Amino acid sequence: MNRARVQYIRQTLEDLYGKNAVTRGLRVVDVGCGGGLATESLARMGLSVLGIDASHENIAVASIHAQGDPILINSGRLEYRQVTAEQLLLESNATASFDAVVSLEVIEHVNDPRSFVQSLVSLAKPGAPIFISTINRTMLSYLVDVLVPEYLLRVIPAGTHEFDKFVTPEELTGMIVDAGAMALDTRGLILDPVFNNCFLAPKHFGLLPNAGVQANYILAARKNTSTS
Amino acid sequence: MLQLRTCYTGDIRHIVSRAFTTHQTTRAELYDVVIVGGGPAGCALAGTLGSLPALADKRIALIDPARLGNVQKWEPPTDTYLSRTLQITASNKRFLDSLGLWSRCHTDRVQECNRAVVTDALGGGMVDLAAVRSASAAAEATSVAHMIETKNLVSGLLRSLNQSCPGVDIIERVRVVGIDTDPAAAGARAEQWPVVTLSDERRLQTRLLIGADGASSCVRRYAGIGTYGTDYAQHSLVATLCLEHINHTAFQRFLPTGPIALLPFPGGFANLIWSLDSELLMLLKTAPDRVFSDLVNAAFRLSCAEMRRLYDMLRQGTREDALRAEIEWRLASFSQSNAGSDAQLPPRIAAISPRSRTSFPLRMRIVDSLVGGRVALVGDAGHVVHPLAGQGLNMGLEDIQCLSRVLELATIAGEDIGASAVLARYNRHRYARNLAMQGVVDKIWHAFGARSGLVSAARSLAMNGLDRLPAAKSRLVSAIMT
Repeated sequence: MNRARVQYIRQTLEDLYGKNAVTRGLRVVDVGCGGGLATESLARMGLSVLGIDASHENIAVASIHAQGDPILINSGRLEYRQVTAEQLLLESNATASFDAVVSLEVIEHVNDPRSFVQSLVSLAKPGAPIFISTINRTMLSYLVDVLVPEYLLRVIPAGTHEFDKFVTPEELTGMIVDAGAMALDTRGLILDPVFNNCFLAPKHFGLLPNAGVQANYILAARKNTSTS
Repeated sequence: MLQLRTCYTGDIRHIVSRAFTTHQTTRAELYDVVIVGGGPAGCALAGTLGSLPALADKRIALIDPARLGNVQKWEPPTDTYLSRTLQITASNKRFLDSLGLWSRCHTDRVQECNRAVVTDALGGGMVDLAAVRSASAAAEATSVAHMIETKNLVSGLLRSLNQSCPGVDIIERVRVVGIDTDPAAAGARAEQWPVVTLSDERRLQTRLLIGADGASSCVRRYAGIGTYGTDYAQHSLVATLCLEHINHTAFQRFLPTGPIALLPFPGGFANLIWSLDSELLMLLKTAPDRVFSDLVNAAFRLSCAEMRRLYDMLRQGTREDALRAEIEWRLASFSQSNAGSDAQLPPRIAAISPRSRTSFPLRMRIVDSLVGGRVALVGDAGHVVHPLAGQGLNMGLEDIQCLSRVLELATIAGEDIGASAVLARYNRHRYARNLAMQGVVDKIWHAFGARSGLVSAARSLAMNGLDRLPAAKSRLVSAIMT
């Protein structure tokens, strides 16, 4: 799944900032970086990435994992901090300082998604993209993201996901517009469990509206340039 | 040296600072890719990776014990060709061409070959494989194989590396004395970066280690990748021949003692590859030049019984002029009884280039995997085949096309190119294909090695049948030449 969403981020950045965007050292913040899976990939591409997470343990795991790649560490493009997006915004020069804001599989775990989206948009420079990936609230997503992995296969701990906190693309788009950005594009992220491949799907499949975003999806938004 | 700007609390800092000190003590130079072996496969991989824009910021090293600078400056001899040669298929040649690697070779010394005549000495079968101009690939000209001296290819690749691949460090005249992971490093061994210790005491720590170091690869041994296979108890005797007239066709004849092949080079030169057991090898390797070229003429024409008689005379130390007169008499009676079959026979050999005879043992080696922990094998390190179909380096170049594509896509996706998930994609694409090709070549060798009358009659029937089926022939040609 990481490959598909990271490539989507790269592609969108190249569309917005030009062909060699990722090697120009754009500053990116990965909010809720967890173990740093996507953070490392983004930094390896050439982006300057700050990974932040509220949890001490996550930052420790991510830091130790990064030590395994001395070339990446030496590049100085990867930084981890144990801080929340809201706390980061309290720092003097953090507001509107990032060329891109990334938050992958986080919003379904936060208590106040509306203010969380507001924080993400506040971190972005005017005109900068914001990437949010999460899980839709549908019958299918309950099946493939809660029931099967948590209760039947037990590959992730029960209670990891709370179905009521899942956010639909429409709700997320509304929050983004309210926070002063506009949604550019929404894509489904579909996992092929047989070959463990993940690929991007279009939002609509022909006559089936929203068929591609029934479960996992990624949304690209862009902060408005004027703050009116 | 290391700067991980992190905010963490007490106990975590302790863990991270321990990792910090171990890295400081190694003092190894850091590379993204270290390629061990500067032969055709290693140089072609370095040239490919060095020309991909996606990998432009990668640090790549190519290590070889030879003086590669001299190979790069190689000035070809004007009066002969080297006896170590390669057959490159049309698609592999296009691949090297597309990267600008082919044009740096001395292309005037490359011979295109679009016809091969294969005969069977025991049963008398014959297949005449002429490259067909396929309608689908009209723009690609014909499906031709390209004959090139190994040194010509390697020197061209090294020139490209020096002139257009600034990201590749060529580390020559050093041996690899050891490969290990940092014993103090944390994490699973398979994910740890190998440290290559060189004979000049330099230490290179690398994200991905490539074994392009041939059949007895030290990288393969480090990765613990097992091999199995057979020793054919045979050697290839190679030599450079001057023919009586210009020839652009490849000829191969399966003798009970092993296949003999004559491969065309420009200006009436040809490369000989003759598979023999070690006793015959010594006999033929030490035979006088003129006797040897007469014996090559004989081996393409005379019957197995006649060849046995000639070998016996050679063993008994028959005088040179007597032996040559015997061969000449037998060849004369052969041409009398086989007038008109010249098109299926190579031109007569006028002379052999002095001191061009050399030999190497023939083996088949199959590896358990093309990849290990942060290790990938390309070329002969990953597969050794009998040269009878000229597929050895072609499989290696296909490995390189596949591996470079896998690494390019992984780099674009920000993946760690030494990670097992990335390398598994290379193994998945290449392992079965290499195994199939090795199997086919081995089967051909065994089919022609059989001396039983029934088997030889059956295979000659099959060859003659194949010769009359243009559709099957063109498929075979495209499988081995394109």
